[in-house]
Amino acid sequence: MKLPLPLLSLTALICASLHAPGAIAGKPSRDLKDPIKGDLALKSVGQLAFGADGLLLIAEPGAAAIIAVDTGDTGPVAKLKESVPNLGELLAAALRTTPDQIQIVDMAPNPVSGKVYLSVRNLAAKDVAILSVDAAGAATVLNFAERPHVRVELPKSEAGPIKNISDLAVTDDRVLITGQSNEEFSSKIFSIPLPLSAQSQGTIYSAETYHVSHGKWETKAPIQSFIPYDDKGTPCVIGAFACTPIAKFPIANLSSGANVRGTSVVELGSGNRPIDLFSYTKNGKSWVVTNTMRFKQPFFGPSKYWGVRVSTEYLTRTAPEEINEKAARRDVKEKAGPDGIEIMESLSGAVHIGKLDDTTMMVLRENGDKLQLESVALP
Amino acid sequence: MATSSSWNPSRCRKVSARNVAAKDAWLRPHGFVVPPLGGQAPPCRSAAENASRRVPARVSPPKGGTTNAALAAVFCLLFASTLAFAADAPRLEAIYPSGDTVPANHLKFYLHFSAPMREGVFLDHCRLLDAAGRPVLEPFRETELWTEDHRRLTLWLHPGRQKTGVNLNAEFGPVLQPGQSYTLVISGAWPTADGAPLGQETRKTFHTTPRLTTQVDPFSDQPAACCTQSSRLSLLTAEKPPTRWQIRPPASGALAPLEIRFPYPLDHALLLRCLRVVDDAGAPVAGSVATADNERTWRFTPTTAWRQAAYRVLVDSILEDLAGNSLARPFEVDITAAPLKPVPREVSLSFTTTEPDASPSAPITVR
Repeated sequence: MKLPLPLLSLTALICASLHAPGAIAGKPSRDLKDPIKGDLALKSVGQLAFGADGLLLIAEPGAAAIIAVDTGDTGPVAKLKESVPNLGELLAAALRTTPDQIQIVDMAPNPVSGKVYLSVRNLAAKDVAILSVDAAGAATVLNFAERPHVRVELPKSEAGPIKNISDLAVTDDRVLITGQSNEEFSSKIFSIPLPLSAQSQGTIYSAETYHVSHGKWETKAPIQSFIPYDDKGTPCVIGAFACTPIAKFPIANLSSGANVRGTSVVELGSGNRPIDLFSYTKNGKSWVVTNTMRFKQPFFGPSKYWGVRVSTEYLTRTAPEEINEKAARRDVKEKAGPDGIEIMESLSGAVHIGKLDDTTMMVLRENGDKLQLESVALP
Repeated sequence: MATSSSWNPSRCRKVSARNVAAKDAWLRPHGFVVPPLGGQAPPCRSAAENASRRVPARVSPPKGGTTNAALAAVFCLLFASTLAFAADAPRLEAIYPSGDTVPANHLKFYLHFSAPMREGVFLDHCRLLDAAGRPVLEPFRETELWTEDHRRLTLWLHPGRQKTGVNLNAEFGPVLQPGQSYTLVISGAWPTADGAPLGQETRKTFHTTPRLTTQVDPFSDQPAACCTQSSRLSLLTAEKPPTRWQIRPPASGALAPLEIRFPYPLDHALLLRCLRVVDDAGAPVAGSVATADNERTWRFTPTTAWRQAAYRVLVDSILEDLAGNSLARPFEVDITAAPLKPVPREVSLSFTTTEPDASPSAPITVR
């Protein structure tokens, strides 16, 4: 039967929008144990992160849970060819609504395929969705019902009223999650060993995170975003506290019920809120990149969103005269410096950033009242 | 990949304001006046009270077939629908702390809504004004913390501003200064998850006392070291303020509530989940919990009558005051001072019920 062209297009659109990314059948992810298939039934969506071989972690903050999906999206790498000038319009069209009816919560590039994944709230449908944007700039609403996945709830005994998962990441042997309570002033980091399983609850432990200011006042401190980092062979977490500098602590310090105190290594200047973090190595030098939102003038450009790269030499410092309240400070009144801390012009207006590889990052940039998705070369 | 707030690609289009205008435009040609909604947040109502406030939507069909009767029926239907719309319109039902006095290092407000609210827009709809009506610079933490049903938002004053010595505090100062008045303003344009706006702006004016920086201690014989006696008095109702918590034991054989009084307000949400009652064998006693007197009183009403026996109230040491000081530790710990005294995970308070039909007993200081 020959379909009329409009109907054919509609059919193609429906097929495309419901197409699972896992067209490439491969062996199941080694990081999932006893995965299941079926509707993810997401009640909420939050942060996204990728593990090995297309393993996607989705935070479900309302339920204090994470879902790990073996997307099957294992490449080969195809990077975004041209910028998407109005990502909101593109995603809204895929969800069959209007841009004012969606909210983009987070973005994560899949390093093995180059596709950019986004967690989105569909206000009109009172629903949430995960979408991807491919190299051609086409958006797809992902349906993971046929993909192996595992849902891990944070244990209530450990999580309490932790309802905000601020970030999550995969290391070689575990998943780390930071969360904040919506009642007591409590911030925790959770550790879940790999492989993930729906029965992982009993193996999860948490530690509270603290910060000390002026060598005197210790308070609980929420980690806004973090990355695992290898500090000369010592596995560490590099975290950006919500109200204080970038700090680090060894993963070995995480134990059940422990109180973890971060060592401040860089101060970006007050009035800035770190958003995303990643590290990369180029020309023999390693850097940590973060984008932040500055809430007070002077801005570093036309936008309150800006970004900086910090030499990892700062992250390895341990001498008392170089850390905590004496850590290197980015002076907001200066246009440059100190050495090894560089404002990145390419991150002006960056609402979200994510590393694709050591040469390329994906940037979601505000452009007037629109959001532009770009592939940007790392310096 | 972290962030705490979502991004609406069309945030600048003022969806909420447009919805207000659209609804107004629909109603006016039909000759209806929308009753004022919201206003100053009333105290929390029980489910039964809320149910009794609802206008029945069912209207009896008209008898007979005259045009007038039909018109009357249509009018009644529209009128009842309008009233039902008003009763069911989204509301900001309560703001906690419910009192009008907080310490200058106050940390958070709880906003209770009658309907699930839209995520990702709360910073567009909350403002803090000083006594002169000027906006306080960036007073709120950007992290958005809802309950699972999206009907309660925890609105944090920025901890980085409220913490001593943290860079934000050092450069911009605290959000609140002691001895001042402020007004929290919640916009009426804030939409629910369904897109309907709250309808009317809500304002809560409050006053600040000096900072409250000591650990919560049910057995303390000293006023908090941080505050002068006069400032502490401003948080109290009694003329001679007790420093220890006080228990009013209930009479046995009845369902009268057990009551615990605190020398100053504690955190509303934590009061509802951090205290539990066990019998002399350690078995949990079932019942319901409420707060009163601007969160200076906690009440527990059992589902079955009290026995004439000894009971205990177990208090989770995470219970905090308005400034984040808990039983376990102060919000800010001076690590150069003497180490904190260890506090058990649950602090136990004992009481014994009184004789049946005894007149209400005076509060007993905890020991």
